Amino acid sequence: METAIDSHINIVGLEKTINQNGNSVRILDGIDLAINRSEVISVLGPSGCGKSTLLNIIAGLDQPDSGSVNIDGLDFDSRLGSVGYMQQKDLLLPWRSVKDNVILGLEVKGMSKKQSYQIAESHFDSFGLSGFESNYPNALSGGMRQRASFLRTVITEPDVLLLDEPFSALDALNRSRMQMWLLDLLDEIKKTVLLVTHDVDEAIILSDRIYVMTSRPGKIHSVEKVPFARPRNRDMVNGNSFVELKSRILSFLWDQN
Amino acid sequence: MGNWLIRWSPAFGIVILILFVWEALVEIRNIPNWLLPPPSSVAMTIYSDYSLLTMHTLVTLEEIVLGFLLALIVGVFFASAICLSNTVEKALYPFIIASQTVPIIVIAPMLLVWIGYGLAPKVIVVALISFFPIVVNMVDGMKAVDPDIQKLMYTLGGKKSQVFSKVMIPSSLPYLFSGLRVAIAMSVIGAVIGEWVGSSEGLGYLMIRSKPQFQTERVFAAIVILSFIGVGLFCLITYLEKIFVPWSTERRVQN
Repeated sequence: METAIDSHINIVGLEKTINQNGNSVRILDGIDLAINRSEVISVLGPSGCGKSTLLNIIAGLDQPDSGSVNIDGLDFDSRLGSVGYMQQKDLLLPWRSVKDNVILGLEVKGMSKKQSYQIAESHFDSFGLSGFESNYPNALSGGMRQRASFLRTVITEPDVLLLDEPFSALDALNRSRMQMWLLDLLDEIKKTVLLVTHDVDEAIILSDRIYVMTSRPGKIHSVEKVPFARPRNRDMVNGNSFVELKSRILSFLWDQN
Repeated sequence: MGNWLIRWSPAFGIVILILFVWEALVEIRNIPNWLLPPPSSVAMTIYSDYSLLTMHTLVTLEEIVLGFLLALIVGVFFASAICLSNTVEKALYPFIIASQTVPIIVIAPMLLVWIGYGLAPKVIVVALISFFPIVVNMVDGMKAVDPDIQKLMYTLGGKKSQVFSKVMIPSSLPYLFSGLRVAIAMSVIGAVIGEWVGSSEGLGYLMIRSKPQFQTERVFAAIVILSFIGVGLFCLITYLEKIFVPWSTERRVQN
């Protein structure tokens, strides 16, 4: 394994078994991950391979049975609240305006409303939310809701972002637009990102490396390096190396489940 | 205002129709006033007994409002305790449900014996009858919170108390208001029951006193006023909901 000393996130031998209707089900079976600082990696796998469990453990919401997660040397308790975790659903609070939703993380950390609004204000433009700050989430389109949820995740400036299928609720066209938007954003904010997805295109477009997982119990099957330099653009999906990489990954996933 | 009249015109139509048929029946059949007074004489009574009715209305209104507020405070407190602690839920919830199976008509005279004649026993009867829908609805609302939103709060660094104040309380408000609408209707009944078992003022007392004196118009006048109180307070709650929970009533705008 390429467990470089200076990797930002270091995960070794993660195992997790859960109890489901009286049966013990093995979810994660010895996961090793090493992610460098400012690297974007994807975890790609069939549904039910334990991707969400993996993120819950990294975020500090769940404990592994064995193995260790090390982010900048932080232990379990202090990880909760310092790792940005964007779940599958946008989870905007319907009783808060867009503005009040995005500052939620600053608010629970005790920052004053005035100061949090100022910080939020400076981001609305690049997150395509200008003019909608005072609207309730139910007045927004799916893409805008997702961007608001994104802003809420990054506004507290965590070094690590965990993204759990962030665009799965969007239609194909909007998803593609959001991927391009995220690509630009990540180039700009330079975070260490772990993206979980089952969309092969999305994984290739966004990440530097792809961890391909087997179906339950989840194991790392292979690590693919994505051969595209940044900044990237939409045209790369037509290139030979893109198609080749995609078909190699797909043919493995095809045989799973 | 005009809009409002048009929207509720079916209700007005029904009221006018009923009043008309009622008036005609009493007239044609020559029914005596003490048996069934026509709407016109009920209206006359409301007009001529204006000050008497106002005095008793204010008493009943006070019992309703105080009892309802007491129910609101106690209800929200119990609901919060139940949602914050599993032990409290297991300890309290069965008794809260059981309390509703005890007929209020049996409890009301006992309250009179225990605490006496004044305002207090009526307020307690109103609170007893109306706190139940408040507790049950609010508990349901707090339990309906998406567990993923709780996860979100924890990953943002939130504490349990913040999950409670920033998520569980606001998300339970629409449910709470449903409970309040049921509770306000029941609290009118509660006040009347409280007055029936022993009092010297209030619309319930006026009804009890007027019936044996064959002043049936006055009984009906009291019923009319009670209905207006019920409908009026119900509308007030709905209005407050629009102010406090605008997000659940605001319509979706797609763009």
